[in-house]
Amino acid sequence: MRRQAALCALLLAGRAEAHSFGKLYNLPVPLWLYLYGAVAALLLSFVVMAWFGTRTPAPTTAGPADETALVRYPRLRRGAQGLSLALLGLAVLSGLAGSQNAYANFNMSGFWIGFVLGFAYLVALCGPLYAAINPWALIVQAGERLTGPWHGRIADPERLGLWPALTLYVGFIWVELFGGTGPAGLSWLLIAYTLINLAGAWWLGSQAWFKQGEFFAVFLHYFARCAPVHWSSGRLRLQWPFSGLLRERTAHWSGVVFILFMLSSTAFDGLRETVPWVRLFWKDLYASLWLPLLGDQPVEIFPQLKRIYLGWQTVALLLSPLLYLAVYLGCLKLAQWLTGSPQGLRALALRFAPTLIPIALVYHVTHYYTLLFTQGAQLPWLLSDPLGTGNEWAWRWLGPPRAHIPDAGLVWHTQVGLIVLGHIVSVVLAHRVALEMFATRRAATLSQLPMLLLMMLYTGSGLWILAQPLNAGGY
Amino acid sequence: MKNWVFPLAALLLLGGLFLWMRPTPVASPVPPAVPPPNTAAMPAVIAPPAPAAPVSSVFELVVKDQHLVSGPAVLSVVQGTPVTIAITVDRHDELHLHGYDLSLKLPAGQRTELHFVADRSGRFEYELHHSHLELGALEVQPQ
Repeated sequence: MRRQAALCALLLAGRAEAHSFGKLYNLPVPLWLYLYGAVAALLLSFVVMAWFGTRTPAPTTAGPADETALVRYPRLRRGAQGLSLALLGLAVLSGLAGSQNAYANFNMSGFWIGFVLGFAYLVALCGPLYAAINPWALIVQAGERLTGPWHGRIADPERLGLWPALTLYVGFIWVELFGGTGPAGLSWLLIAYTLINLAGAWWLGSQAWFKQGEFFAVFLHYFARCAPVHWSSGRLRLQWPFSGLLRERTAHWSGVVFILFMLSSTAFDGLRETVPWVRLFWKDLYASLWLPLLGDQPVEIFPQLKRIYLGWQTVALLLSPLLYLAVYLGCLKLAQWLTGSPQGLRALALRFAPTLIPIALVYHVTHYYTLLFTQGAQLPWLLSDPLGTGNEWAWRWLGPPRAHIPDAGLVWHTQVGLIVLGHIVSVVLAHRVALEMFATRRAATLSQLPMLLLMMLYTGSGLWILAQPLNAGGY
Repeated sequence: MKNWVFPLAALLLLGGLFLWMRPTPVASPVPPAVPPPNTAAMPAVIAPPAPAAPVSSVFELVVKDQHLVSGPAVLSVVQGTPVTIAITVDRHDELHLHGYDLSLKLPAGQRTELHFVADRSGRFEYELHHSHLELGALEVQPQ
């Protein structure tokens, strides 16, 4: 009994160190709503199948990469580019020179909430804004102006696919979840990432690097494809939301894994806060494995156990896209077998991968969007005093900062509604792709049964995670 | 088949399913106020929008040696309930309740109470500020 008490004390004390930025105030989704989401997703999938049973949509064409936004508006573009560089510079400076309180310094909210969440969702609404204002591309361009264009050091960078970007993306998610980065740490990370971009652009060539290496460019490119608008001949044009994904072609296995990691990393971030996940390591395995293995001295083994837990979570994060990939390939294999299609597994995997992006987008939004209201709403005040010195001149106009915590019931319904919506969009896209990939409508419909299973697994697990009780008060 | 048939079918399905699966709202947040187990037999008694009886929820927490020795880690209440968190610590500290942005100075060895109305729904963690001790979470279910 006393041993347990001592252990708890240590565990509780250990918890506060692993502090990620931004507080989520979301309650677990109630069981009935979770079941409703799952049943609605399943039933609507069949409505979609019936719909496609009666009509053949026009075939899609592989479009070229979407044009960069704002090409026709050089002044606006230069202004946005200047702003983008200025914000990056401000984030670096404020982190180094300002308050080390993560909630007082501009750079934490500006980067983690304003850029990683807010800007990403803006791109999903407004199309490919990022390519026009990518601050790291602008820095590389400045370098090229001095030395002449960088064509890269290796022949045929295409063969690397998106592996460089995926590597950086995995590293980024690891830092986000486990880095415990403060303002100064974030500044150093941004500096390091700038250097990585300079080196990468020099190594792969700047053109290739900003398509295959800079992971924000890849990530935001996929989000931009979901937008209800796109740019063509320098003009903004409307399109069906998510229909841009039908023009997307994955050229390389790395693209498939990148998209699956978009799904699995968000799912993992949700999962690791839940009671079943925490209990697995700190209760089930604790009694059956760690105590016998490391010795019966909780106080002594705790630091070691904490390191093991970090390794454990890291391995889980790294394996998560492979698990999603195994399920994906399994379902495609089944579709191949059901339809007797001559299409190879690789061709199917590459072609269907972009149809999963809507699920990835809604996972992301449902998991994080409330942070925009709670922490993102503080940005005007933080910008008025980026160093967090306590200078309150902005309060005269803005009043004191307020937290907008959305009603939990509203949050539940948006979460489940968005997950179901993303699921249906993915089912529709996959069906349209199937009509092109398979010879007959019958084969296309047959192929969609395993795909439906796949999407139900992804959607169902996303909903399941949202409905799990969350771990409270340490391990 | 007409173009609108499928979207209509989808909407009807979503709406019907929602109405069917949605639980009937429970008016009173306080369990002791609704003791009979077979409430389904007499829904008329609880159905009228009885104002949420402002019966206070009291939670007793005791912290010793950097460790919650007594009291729950999750404080679950329904929105609108007056809440009292009574906490005794063995070392001088400060309690922070996130989201409500409440803090309370805690003298060592003394039982101190924090009173507030849980008017915001959501899940709010609270911690002991000086010892960086995450104590638990207040879960406020929406009405």
